[in-house]
Amino acid sequence: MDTSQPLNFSRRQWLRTAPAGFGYLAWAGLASREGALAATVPVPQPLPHFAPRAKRVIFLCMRGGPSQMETFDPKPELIKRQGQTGKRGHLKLFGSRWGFRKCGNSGLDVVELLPEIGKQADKLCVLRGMHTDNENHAQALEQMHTGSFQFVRPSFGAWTVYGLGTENGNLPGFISINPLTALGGSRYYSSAFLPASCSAVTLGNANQPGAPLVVGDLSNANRSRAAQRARIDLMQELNRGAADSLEDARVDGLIESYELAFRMQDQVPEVMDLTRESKATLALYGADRSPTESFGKQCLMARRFAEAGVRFIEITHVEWDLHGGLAGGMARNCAQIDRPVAGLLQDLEQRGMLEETLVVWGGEFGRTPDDPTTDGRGHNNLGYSMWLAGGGVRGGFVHGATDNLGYEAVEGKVHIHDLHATLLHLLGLDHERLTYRYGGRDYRLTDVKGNVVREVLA
Amino acid sequence: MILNLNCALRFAVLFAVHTAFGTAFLRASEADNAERLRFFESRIRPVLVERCEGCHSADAQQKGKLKAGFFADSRKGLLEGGDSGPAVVAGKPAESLLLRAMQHESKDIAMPPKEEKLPKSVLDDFARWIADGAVDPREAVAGIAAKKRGLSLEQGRAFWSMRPPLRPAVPAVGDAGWALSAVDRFLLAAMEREGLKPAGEAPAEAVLRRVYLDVTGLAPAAEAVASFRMEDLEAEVDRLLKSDAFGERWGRHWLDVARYAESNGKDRNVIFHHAWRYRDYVFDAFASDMPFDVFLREQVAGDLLASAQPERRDALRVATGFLALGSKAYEETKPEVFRMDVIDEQIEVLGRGVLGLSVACARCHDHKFEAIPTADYYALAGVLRSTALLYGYGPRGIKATAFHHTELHAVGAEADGREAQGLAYLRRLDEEMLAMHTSRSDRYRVQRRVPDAKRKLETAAGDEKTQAECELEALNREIDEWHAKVGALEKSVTQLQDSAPPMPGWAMGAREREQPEDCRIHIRGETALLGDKVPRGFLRVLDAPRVSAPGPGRSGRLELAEWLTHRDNPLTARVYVNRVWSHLFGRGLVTTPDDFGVTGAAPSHPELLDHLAVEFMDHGWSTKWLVRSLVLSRAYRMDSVGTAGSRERDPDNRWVARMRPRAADAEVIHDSMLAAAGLLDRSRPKEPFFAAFHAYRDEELFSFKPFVTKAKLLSNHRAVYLPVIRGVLPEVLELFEFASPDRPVAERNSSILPTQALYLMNNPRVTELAVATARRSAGAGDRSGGSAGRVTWLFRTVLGRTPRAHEVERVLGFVDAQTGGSGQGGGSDATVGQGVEERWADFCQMLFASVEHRLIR
Repeated sequence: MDTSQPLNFSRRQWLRTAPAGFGYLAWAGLASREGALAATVPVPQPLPHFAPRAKRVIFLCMRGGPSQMETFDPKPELIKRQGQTGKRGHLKLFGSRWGFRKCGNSGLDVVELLPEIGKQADKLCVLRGMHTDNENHAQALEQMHTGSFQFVRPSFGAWTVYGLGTENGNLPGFISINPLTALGGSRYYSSAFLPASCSAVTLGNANQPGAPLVVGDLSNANRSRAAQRARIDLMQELNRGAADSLEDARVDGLIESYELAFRMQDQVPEVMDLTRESKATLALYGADRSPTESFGKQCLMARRFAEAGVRFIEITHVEWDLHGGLAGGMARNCAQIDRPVAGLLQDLEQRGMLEETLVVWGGEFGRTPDDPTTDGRGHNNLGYSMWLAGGGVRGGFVHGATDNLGYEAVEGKVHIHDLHATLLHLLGLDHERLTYRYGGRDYRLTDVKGNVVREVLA
Repeated sequence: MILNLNCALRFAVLFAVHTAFGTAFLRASEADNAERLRFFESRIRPVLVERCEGCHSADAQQKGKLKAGFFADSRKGLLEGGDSGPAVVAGKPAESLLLRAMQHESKDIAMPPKEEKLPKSVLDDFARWIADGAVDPREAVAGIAAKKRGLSLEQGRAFWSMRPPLRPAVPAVGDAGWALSAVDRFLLAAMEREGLKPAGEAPAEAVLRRVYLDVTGLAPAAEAVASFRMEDLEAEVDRLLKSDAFGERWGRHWLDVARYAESNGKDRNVIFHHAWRYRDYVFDAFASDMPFDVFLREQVAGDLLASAQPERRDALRVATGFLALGSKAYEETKPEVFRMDVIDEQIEVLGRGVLGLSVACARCHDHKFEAIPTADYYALAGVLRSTALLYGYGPRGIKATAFHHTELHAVGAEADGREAQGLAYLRRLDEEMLAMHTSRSDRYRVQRRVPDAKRKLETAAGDEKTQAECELEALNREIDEWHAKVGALEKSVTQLQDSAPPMPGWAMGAREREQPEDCRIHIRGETALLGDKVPRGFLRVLDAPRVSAPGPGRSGRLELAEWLTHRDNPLTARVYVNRVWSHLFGRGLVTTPDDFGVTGAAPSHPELLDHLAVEFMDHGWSTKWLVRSLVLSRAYRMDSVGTAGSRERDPDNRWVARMRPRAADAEVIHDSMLAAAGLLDRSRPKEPFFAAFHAYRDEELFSFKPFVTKAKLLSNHRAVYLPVIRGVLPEVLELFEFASPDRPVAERNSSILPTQALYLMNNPRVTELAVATARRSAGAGDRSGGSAGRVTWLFRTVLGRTPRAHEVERVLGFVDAQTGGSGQGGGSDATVGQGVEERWADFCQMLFASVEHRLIR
């Protein structure tokens, strides 16, 4: 066969000559349906659709819904009207007990509980007009991750890997560290109908505190590396015999998957091994001390995965659902994330990675300005804040606003569909063209909605 | 703008008398006409131009900006409307979608989008204009394509899959000796037409493994591999068809379509304690070769099919669990939204699962591709809306969502005697639990106020301090009262649980609602935007089955079941035989098994598909007949290595000139390892997985998720009996891409993932089974063969074939490092320190992991 005609390539030939090689295929979801395998090289679409601003995403998921008026959306009017009855009749208004500081050259408002993040203010693009459709945790989280709260749909991370593949064939394209698993959590990182290779490999479990951050079955306690290699050699020899008698693309894929797994046994622990980091770096993330140690390690690991070529990394902090204990809870949570998040932004910058790494911070919704007490807040899906940093977004910039009490977004409103459209745009993907045909219909992350928020693009 | 308008106005008035504007207008006097026209030009047209036509006009269409297929720039456009139906109903403002959208009646249709409503004066103008007959002189721009629509009913009925299958003539073939059956002749005729030659016969051992795994999901034992001759195939197949394992294997294929699960998944992962009855019903149905049409009828309307025999009656009730198994959004607080979402899920399963049509697309708008108008969706929805689903209790103790609790079918010997008191008990339990949970929340609300009160006390002085002390004291008293109340309620719940009356068996299912009702069209699928009422019925594009419309007083479910399984329904049999074909040949004759519509693939062998559909129905819709006739065809015995010509000219194997190797699915891998280890328990588990969890207490997985550990999810029964917990599938099922129970699955994915490799290489359970297999092999097989005999036995047991001499030698070199076999791996440093038996176990594990074990060739 004439190899100068790529369309006539057999899959096996293509596998052997393609620049990205086996590893890419195994992870990028291309080795899935046999029908797609046989004749053509099943690259989904010519992707990216246009020049990307960001190559990868680090998503800092704040489960529970952080309060916007106690983080990035100061409400002086709310403080003035302390104790008065709000819009919802019987409930009393109360303002933030913490002050805000004008931070950076941009003078961005950041709560005093987050002084380190405040120092990175010029990198942040705060979206104060976020809104979403549902005020229950499970559904709002699902919509934040998949665009839908009614149906099982692929996660945003899975769409990203589907669209862009992975940069490192020895690692998964999508990793979720400390993921939520209760209340439908697995849907937040699942590939749904996309190829399974687009779903996240998970480390740890946010719903089982203390669960180790490990990839399942990554090591074998009873076999040395050499013994493992020896038995794989035996198997591969048998496999190659099968390859000759069984002309099927899948055989090559399977043979290579064992080599990839074997390399992963070495590489994943290497990437996850934080002892390779200097003391200074550990300190930068607060990974060396309480109370920042746990989240600091996650942030640092996220950077290490990003550096190693993982496309989408999600980490989770779970304690933001403060109906009560707001005073203590906000102080605790902010202390836990402040140094790590700031450290991540600084570190990405000093390594020259921030420009091509999109960092997203936020929860599934925000909080209400009124409550029966002054020490807790209810769920608010009508107006809340998230922020973006790095990869192609305007730093030191505030987009959108809630009303003067913080009940709902009134200006520069960004629905979760709009956020998805914007994030895909920054990755060089057109949310209307990134589609997957399933059950007779083309599906999109943004369903039939979503507009790119041009104002936030750098 | 205003100046131009004046010109336009004069122009329009001149034309008014010559143009028919609609009946309302014609009846009006000429003076009225002029006045109405003036009103349109001055108050309506400017708004349409400025606020609507940017996205809804011929101009927008040319710029690729047209939204919702809706044109606001002509009278025709307004009257016909877009994807959501007519926008203006002359004389009826309340029914005019345009006005409702402008009034922001619902967020989803709010127009103009992302803005405040237009001023009230404008809305009033539009209301008046529509009430006065919606006079509008604008003609549609010529030459602009009409909006995108699905096929008309006539076009739809002419589509290949909507025409009833007719028995085609079996074609003549050149090489008549090759064909064993009509199936072979259809395939060979196509091959000959394409200039292809069929592959040779696969080795007997490969055919045996294929047939065992396809018919029963279980691999042949080493002894069967050793003694099999191709001439025994027919007898072997007949034996396999009789085994219970056939019911489990083929029943499981149906459970993929039926999105079977034992928990709700989604936001509230409530356990479906009784779902297993449906699973077992399905296995029994396939094991007993229940005719597929009967099987479908029972699942859709079993409760309406009479049976005097109690056991049959139970089975018929259990069958309707099919309708009730879907995942529900228990946190949804709006009953109507909840109800319509549940109906939508059922329509999806019936549409894609039975008919191979994406009917559910027509929920919000006429189907964009198929001849399925929204009205037909709501005709079906009416049938399901008139049906009460019985799935039991959702999450307890939430007042706002308590509306979704339902009863269950009572089954078993004591069903009649115990049903009433059982249901009463469940209701009472639910009430008490609600009271308990509610007072817990109330207590919490009071408790939350304590920190504020304490702070106040700390900062206050003088009188204020005294007052603050009083307040705190009062608060504490109140909390104590709540403690007492909650305590009493908790005690009462426990007492109630401890004194539960004897219960009947329960089953999920469906029954008629007392008051059947037609459903209104939900514009854009919105429960708040109701259109016309549609009489209960079916899809009009499938009009061949002459089934009468449901009469008053009945849901229409029985008629729906008849319509689905009517011999003249062109889809049901075709879709099903295609599924069976795809399970046996690796890909359907229609490669989109759940899409037989215009967006689906055309059949590669249309006559063969119709032949199979007609023969299948003629043979009493017998799955066993169909499976038997396919696995005994010549084609099924073909080797997976085709002739050189077939590989080059038909790389995709569209013409089935060779066998398509398939991935062994999760169940096959699981069961095969257990069987090799001698540990597979072929019996049906005596009690369901969730029996360990109290059926009337632990409704939600949420509360005891820590108990669902990996270890708990292991079992020695066949994989089909592993618990299907939505969101928490047992590891082996998850990794090897078991069908997602969230939706009907036509074809499983078969990705190749390194996490699968890691599992087979390192998972402790796999290692344990490898060790057990090695141990078993020591005493098995031909003792005279020594170690070589052991290798042979293991190859036959795990891979279903006899090893070649060089393979035996290589393996012996690996396991017997001391004696230094001639293989390269023997005696290497890597294996020093390992015992010989450990290396046998290593070899077994590598057989589990090997390519041949993971494929069906």
